[in-house]
Amino acid sequence: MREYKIVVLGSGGVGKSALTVQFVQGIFVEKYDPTIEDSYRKQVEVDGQQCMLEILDTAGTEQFTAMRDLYMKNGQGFVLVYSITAQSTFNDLQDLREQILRVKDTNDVPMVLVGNKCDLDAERVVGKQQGANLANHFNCVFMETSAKAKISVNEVFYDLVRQINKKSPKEENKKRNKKPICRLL
Amino acid sequence: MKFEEGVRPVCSVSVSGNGGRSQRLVVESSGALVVFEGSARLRSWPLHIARLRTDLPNGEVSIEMGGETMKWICSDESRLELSRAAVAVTISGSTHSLSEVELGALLEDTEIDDGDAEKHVKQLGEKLAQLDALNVGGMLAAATEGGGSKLAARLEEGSAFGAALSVRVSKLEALTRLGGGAIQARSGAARADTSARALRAELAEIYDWLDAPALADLDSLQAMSLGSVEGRARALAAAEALRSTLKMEKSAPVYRLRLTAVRERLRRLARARDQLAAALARHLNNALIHLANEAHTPGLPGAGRRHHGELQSYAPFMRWLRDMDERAYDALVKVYVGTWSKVYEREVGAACDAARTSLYPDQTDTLLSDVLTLVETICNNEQDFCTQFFALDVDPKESSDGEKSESGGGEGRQASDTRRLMADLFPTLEQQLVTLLAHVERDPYGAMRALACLGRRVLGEAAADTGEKRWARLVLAAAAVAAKRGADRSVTDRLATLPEHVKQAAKKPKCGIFAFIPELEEMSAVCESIFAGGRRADLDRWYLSLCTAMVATIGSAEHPRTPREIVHLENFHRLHAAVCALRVPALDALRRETRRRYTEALRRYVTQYFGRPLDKITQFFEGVSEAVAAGAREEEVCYRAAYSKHALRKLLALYPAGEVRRALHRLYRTVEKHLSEECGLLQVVWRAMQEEFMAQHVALQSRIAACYPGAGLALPLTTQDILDAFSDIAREH
Repeated sequence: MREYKIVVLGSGGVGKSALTVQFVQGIFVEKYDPTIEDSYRKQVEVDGQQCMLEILDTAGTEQFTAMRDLYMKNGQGFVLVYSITAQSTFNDLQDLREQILRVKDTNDVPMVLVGNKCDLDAERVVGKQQGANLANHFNCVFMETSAKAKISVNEVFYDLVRQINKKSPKEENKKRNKKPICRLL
Repeated sequence: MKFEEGVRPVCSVSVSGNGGRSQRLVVESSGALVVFEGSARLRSWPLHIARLRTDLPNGEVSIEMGGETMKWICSDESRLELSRAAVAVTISGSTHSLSEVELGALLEDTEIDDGDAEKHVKQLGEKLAQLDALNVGGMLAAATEGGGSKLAARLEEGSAFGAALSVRVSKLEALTRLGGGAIQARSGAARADTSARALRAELAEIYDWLDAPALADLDSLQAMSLGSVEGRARALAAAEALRSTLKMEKSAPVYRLRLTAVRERLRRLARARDQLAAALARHLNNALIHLANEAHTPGLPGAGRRHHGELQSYAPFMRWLRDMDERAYDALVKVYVGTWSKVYEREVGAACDAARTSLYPDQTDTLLSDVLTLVETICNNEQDFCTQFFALDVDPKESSDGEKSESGGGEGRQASDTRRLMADLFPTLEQQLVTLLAHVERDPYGAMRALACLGRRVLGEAAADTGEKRWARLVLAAAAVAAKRGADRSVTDRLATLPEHVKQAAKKPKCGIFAFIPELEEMSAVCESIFAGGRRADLDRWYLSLCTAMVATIGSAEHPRTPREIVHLENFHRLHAAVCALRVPALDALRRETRRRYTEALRRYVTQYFGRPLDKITQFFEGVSEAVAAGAREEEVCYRAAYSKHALRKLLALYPAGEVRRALHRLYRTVEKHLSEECGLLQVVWRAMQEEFMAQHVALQSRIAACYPGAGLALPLTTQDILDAFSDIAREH
């Protein structure tokens, strides 16, 4: 089974963990507890193909930014999350994307721009069009999601899997899979 | 060449005129510029009216009067000579003896009425000012040529000269007041005066620039003692004066820098700067090494921070060096980093060792906290000190160019400079902390304790106040990630041991409870208190993954002697209790799942092992039920041979009450043999058995009542008998 290394990035409190946990476990975590680093594995079927998603949920708080380079180096696809209720989280993504492109040393990196908390429309400060414009500028897919109301959560990850498939078809993966990988030890 | 009487040539240069004609330009002592071709005097201009320009491109010289301009080409030396001569003749006092010709030319040049007189004077004045400005450069060159460092003397000469001129001007003013025709005389004198004033101002500026009072100490700089407060103050004053003087070189006008005396002086100052930089570097280097030796002396705890106070007084000098001698500055930074990185490595190492040796599980948090506090204190003090001492808060580019670098760029640069210096000072800090964490993790819950402690420090409320730019926070954050990975690893390890527990249970006579469930209970008891202060989400996630894996493990577990139903019954029962006790909303689904599987295991076990104690009677009535279902009326079934009263009576005789009781005893012993003592489920199962028996019994009784009414037929035991029998058995064992 092909493995997909997905990294969820974004400022603190935008709902990276809520989104990830909703996708992996189908639970909405109401309480906010800043993440240090969490990794999940989940098997899904995308376009009739079984995939093992290895999702790394990262810290958004500023003092952990030093770890990002390594995350970006290891990741194959990236979910860039902001909250539609906080302008600064939206503004932070430009730098984040540039860092990814720098680390990956290419302009073509599978990526989804996600405006989370779309259930909180009354508190919205980032317009949907703003998000779409940024995605256009990034040349990537854009979705507004709600981890709480389960809106478009799975689509984010499925789309990323498709992007990774498109960018690097199976041959490469088969080659890599020939090597036995010892995971637990 | 013919000269008027009493007139002599001050300078004569060969030039190339219109059409390449070879001509000569001569400046005469009368104050006129004359052009000769061969010996023919072609034309002359009074220099105080005409505008002589020697600063044109391509070696051109021009004279301009009354809107007409003539040009020649000549060598640079000739131009310089011309300009000097022109200046000399126009100030050399010949002005008050204007020739008739020149006066005529002047008057011709501008037809004036009396009313225009003032305006005319003004125009002339402007013209003169232009001329003077042009000529000051040349005058200065003349005045200081070959002069070494005797600027002051020259200044005095200049001033005396200026004063003499002023006297002359005032005399002239008195004279000109007598005759309106003496305007030219007046303007000539005024021009001379202006020139002198300009010269004096220029010299004064140069003097202010290059010979400020603070620079007087230059020669004694070598002898200054940087060890004393007073010596440092003097050295600092001299250093600052040197810096500001030398900095102005960049913005000084080019003509000033062409002056030999100025160049000479700047060279001398630069030399003084180099000497001062070398002396400072030497002194600071010695001070650093001295303090380092002190810090390395054993038995002097806390020496690690005393050096801050001692070095503080040299901070302005470091700042100066950063600006003036980057190499010396870099070398000092290197010495400092080399020394103190070792001191701190040792200090942190000692603290980690101390924590390691006195590490008990219940003290992990305190000990780790102490180490982290020490690390944070050292790092923050050091960052504050270095920022100040090494002038990291000053953008060197900004201070040397005098212009602000792009907004944000300077700040980013400062931040990265600070980060780099701190990383150099504490190159092993992160590794030391990670090593300590690895040691802490040897305790079963060490990783959890470490995570709780670091999480609180890095993400807790207290952490938010400590400022954004603290380098220590980055190190602690890295350690927090290491602790998180350690804690995750300990959970992964637990998950990996689940099958092992099943194998171990197989060696025991009864399966009983898999050891991983009490371990989960223990873990929750310990971790609930460890994480009482936060990181609840991590704990919940671990519970979820552990419990999910346990359900799967129990579901597929086998035991050689214990029936599968009992394995499920006992373990799901205990796991369900454990999950309930956790009270974690995320485990709600699992709580329901364990409950369901426990109930199902109980049902399956009872069905399978209780069986049908009155089997033949039950079979008999199954037949009756089929007959009824096929259409027979209940009260008529007894007329069929197979279901006659007689047949039933014979069957009932097979089950005397005593025999039924004995069967129940046997069943109880079997159940007792299957179930483990630790679970205490025997009564639960026995009660389920009783209920099952009662249900069967009640069903049979109602059938007898419906199909064989009034036949006097009854089951061997009454309902009360059964209840008594079950409780007797339970009591007996």
